[in-house]
Amino acid sequence: MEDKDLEGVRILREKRKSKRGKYAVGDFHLAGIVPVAGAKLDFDMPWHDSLLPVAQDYLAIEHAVYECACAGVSTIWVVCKEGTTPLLRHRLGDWVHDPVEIDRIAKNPRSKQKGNIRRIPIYYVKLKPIDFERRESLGWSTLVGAITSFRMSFRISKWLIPDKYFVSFPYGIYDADVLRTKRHMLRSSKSYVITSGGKGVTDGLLTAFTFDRDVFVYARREVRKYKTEISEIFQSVADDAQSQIEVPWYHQLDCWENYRNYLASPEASLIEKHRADGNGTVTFQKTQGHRSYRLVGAET
Amino acid sequence: MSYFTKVEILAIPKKPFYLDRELWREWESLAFVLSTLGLMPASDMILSFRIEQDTQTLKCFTKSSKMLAYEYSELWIVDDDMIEGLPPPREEAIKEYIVCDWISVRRGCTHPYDYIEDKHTNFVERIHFYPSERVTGKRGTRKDACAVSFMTESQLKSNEYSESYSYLKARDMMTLAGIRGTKNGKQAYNGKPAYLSLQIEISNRELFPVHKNLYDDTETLKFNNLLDKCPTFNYNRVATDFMREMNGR
Repeated sequence: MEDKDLEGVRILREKRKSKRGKYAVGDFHLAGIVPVAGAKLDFDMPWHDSLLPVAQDYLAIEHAVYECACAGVSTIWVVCKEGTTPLLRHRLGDWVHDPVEIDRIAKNPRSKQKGNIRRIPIYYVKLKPIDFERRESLGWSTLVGAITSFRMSFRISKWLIPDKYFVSFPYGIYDADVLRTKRHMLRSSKSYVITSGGKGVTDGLLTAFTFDRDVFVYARREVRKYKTEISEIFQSVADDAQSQIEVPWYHQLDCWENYRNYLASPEASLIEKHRADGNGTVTFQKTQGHRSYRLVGAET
Repeated sequence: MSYFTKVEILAIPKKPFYLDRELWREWESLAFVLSTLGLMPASDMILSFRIEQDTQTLKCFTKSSKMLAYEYSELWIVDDDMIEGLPPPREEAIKEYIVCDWISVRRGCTHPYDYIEDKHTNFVERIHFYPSERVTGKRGTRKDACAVSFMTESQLKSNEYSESYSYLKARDMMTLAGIRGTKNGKQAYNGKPAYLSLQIEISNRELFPVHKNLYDDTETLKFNNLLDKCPTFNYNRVATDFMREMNGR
């Protein structure tokens, strides 16, 4: 095809995009997965390691969910053990608002969309007891989240099946706002890896990445070879230069030493809970109303 | 055309709109004749196609998860639905669909209505009732239903427009129209007949794209707009006509 025709195709696509909105969020089902179960860390706290505070009134698990929301996911699937779920759910709630839409409306308080901000539902997936102490790892939790989101979506409607999966770990922290401008890349058919200093999930860093059906099959094959390290399981994720999104800084929260280094670093002051400016809408459901903590099955 | 030119039709995955019975029967009879002449080898068993232009191979994937590979020197494409490996279109169509949710009415299938409609929304805008083919024997009075909606791509992939919500709205519309289940004795306090509630199930969802991509011909791929020019087999014209009274599109 001649260049002139290709230019015509490009213009038509741009027109179409601009007509439907820049990111066309509803056209692509990007499922966000937050693997919580599986990591064996040395914090030895009475609560789960994903509930570490990373800023004032802000936990590591909340930051992972916020990462997913910034990446433009349609649903969020938190994979954890059954005993951990009530406390996580008490903290996170059942949905989060889209922070990009909140900020867009905050700039224009008279917007008609004020009362219609997109809610991203959070689903809690439990790890099966048969996997405990056997396949229990962050990689396996990621695969469980992916297959559960696939099955649940397929049961509702086959058009709701996720097109791609976005994985965000609570044990790795970086500036999630970088992802806001990369939404159109993450919500495409190509897979991307968040890197710091050229290293990503294939090098053992717990940074976010996207993967599709083919990578899922290869990763499950690796798990069946008794591999548990995240870098070994997801070695098939593309990490060439074209598929890397570099972040300016990154800290891994996988042990007490690294956690202390993070808190002492100047980047710790940059992380704070997302708050709306003036229009009263908040990202997390928990801050909208009082939600009391109850055990599963306890009488109200 | 195939009958006169003796050119094989590889497959026609999408049949005409089911509720246009005359067109449906005509299609079936033509398909039967072509099959017996050996001009339609894959009939309607194909789910999707993949074109590999480098090797000039067309791979067809059947409903029974088998793959049929054909080599071609020149390929004529009438409809780009469910085909991978095509060149980028000259004009990309907006993705809007007419969505038909086929409903099996388990209880409440006998009533005088041909259709009921809700003009305030595009979602389950009209419910058509047609004589059921699930029930054997001559029971022409028993009707199944088809809920017709108009959706964009983002609505189609939204939970709020899924089959479950379609089921709820269709049941609500049918109940408001006065459709009830079978008789169930008498009401004790006034002696009037009692009825069971309505019972329906969504069997499947079918899509009809409203707009069509336009392509330029290549050396080996020829895009034929024959169906657009033919007065009867316009691209989804039957389905579009079916909806025309609803929203004038």
